[in-house]
Amino acid sequence: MSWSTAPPGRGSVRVVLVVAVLVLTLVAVALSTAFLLRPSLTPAQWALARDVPTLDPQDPVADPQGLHLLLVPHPDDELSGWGSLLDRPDLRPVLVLLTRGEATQRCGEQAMANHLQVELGEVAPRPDPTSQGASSTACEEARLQAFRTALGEAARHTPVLAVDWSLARPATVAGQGAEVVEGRHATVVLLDLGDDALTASGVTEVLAGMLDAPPEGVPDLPVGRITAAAYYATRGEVADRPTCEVVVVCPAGERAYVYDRPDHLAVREAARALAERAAEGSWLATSPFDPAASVHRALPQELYDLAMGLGPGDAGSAPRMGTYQRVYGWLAFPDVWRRGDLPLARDQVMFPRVQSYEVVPP
Amino acid sequence: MSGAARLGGTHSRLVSLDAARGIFLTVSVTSASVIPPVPSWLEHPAWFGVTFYDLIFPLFVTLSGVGLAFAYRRRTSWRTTARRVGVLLVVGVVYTAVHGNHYELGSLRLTGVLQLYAVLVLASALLHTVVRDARGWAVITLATAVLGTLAYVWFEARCPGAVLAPTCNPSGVIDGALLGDHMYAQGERRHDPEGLVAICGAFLTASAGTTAGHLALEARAGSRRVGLVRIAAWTATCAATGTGLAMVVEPFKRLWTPSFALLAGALGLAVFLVAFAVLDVLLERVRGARTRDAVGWPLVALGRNSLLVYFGSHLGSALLLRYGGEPSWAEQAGEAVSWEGSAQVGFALLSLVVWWAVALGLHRRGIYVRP
Repeated sequence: MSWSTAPPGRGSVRVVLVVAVLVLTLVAVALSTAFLLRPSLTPAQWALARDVPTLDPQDPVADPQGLHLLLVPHPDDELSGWGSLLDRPDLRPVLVLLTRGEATQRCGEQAMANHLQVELGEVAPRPDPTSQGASSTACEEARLQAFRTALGEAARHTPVLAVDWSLARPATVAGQGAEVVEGRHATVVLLDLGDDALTASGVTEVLAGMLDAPPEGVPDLPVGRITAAAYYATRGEVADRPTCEVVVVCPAGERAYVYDRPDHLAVREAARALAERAAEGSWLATSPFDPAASVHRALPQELYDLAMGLGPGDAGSAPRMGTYQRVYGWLAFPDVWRRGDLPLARDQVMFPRVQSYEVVPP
Repeated sequence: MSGAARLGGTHSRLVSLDAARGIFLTVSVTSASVIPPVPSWLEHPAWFGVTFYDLIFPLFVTLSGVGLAFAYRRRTSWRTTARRVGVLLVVGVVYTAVHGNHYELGSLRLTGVLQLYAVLVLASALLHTVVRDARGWAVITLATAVLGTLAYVWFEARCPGAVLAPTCNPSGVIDGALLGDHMYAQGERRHDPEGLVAICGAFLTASAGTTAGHLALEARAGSRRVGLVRIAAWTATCAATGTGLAMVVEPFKRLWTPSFALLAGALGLAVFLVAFAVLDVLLERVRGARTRDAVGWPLVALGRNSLLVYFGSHLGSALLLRYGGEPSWAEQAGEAVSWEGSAQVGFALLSLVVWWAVALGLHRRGIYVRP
């Protein structure tokens, strides 16, 4: 062979070079094979991954460029705004809970008995709201306590939302009694505008007042974006496929999960009215079939599983794994919080992994 | 059956191809002999996705491509080729029927892994009448990859949402028209992983191997060190090109897309490269051909009967898992030789030992099963 006749010095160099080439090639093949191996996906899942950006939680920024108002009608609606929240990691979230959710019938004794499944991992609400029933102080406090627990768990995967609830202090927002919790990177404002009693004008007035005179704990920064974390879809808005720009989020033959609660409409319209107060306008959670839906964001699968995870089995037997399934399990409908990539009527998914928004410019 | 092929002439024989096949077969036999429940990485995805198991057959195809360069480097014997293709096609239909346990003539599956291999042999023989060097085969490989990718781009753009799906894919159209009920799953899955479209992808994988085979042959006549570097460069080229094409068309095995073909082929080439470097370059140079042959003998024995061991082990495991009642013969055997309490590992190792013993015995007698 040629290297056996070469001078020893040059021969050694050649051997080293050949070994280096061999090693580099094997490293390249190892990397390309790792790149080749990929999880099993249905065509629909693959298309979603291709066409819809998936957002990962970022570390909180030290100097936020503005505020991100997340409007939450009831304590369990916050997940609808998560796609928008993750979309602007440079803004400081101000999470505004507008009601205590006290009107839920699940605070009634019979409803609670029918739905709460502690043996599957659902957490019994505290204080026990059934002693006083719906629209009671106990019901309010039970829902607020679930909200605090859920937000605390959410801070593990979305650290910007970490707040110390023991620092909550009373405040007045546009003449309304409120509680404000100032975290290091986010603020939570707890209002009590009345469950099933929200109106667009009432919510707009209170929020405008808050922006005009921010309570202590809400930094004096310009508003970057307002998000209505209030999923809203009516029958009239579904299945209008020709208007769907991203075809994969509006599968043929499917319809959006309908949820047309007036409180959600009120929050949505308030966010629309306040869009001019935000540099980027307002994002309104909606269904992908909504002709006005123009932005779609996917939550990372791991985050979605932490929020909505279920163990093996059907709704009647699956262990409740995710925060929503455990902490808000007593509020779930139709049986558990149904999981899915899209809010399809067929699957009864209200909190999908892929979230759609109507963007209202300022 | 035939006697051992002589690669000789005035140059010493290369053992790396057979050894690489032997390495591949140790993985193939064990992964094909796993008692259910089979882990997901040992199953094919329903559509998109690539698992470890998806890489097994393409490895066989890559190394077969290397072997086809060796077989057709000189004049093509058309009689031998015709017989080889014919036997593969006929045995393939029978193999597929037995493996799939489907014997209805009206919907008998005509495609399968052996039939795919038969077409590759025929295509390689035909192309070797005009191209018999590494450079030519490299051009064929890269041109096929680019043209195949463009064809997929054209087709994909016409699918709803520009997504290849069981309801919209070239195999469903072409293989469906050609084969009807005689395609994979009687057409119910609306594609054929060994149909004409997948064969085009497999040809690309084999062609990458054939290029490496010609590089090895050229190195045998010249400098093996230079040959080693060239094979390494070709391997890296396939990996890089496959990665680039994956940005355009998704790599997945169901359709054997061009990106999948090159990326999986690069892995097969890497196995061949390692065998070539260790046995035909390093060991032969340092210890001589006799030591090289002695060290490589067990793997070469396995590799020289690769067709028998690969298909035999798959069919054998399928039958042992299917028959014997509850538990099946495979499970009974696995329990009897369970490895640290695992019948799965026990049966997989038992299969490997049995097939390796068969290959060693046949190699000692110079018996090689070939069409």
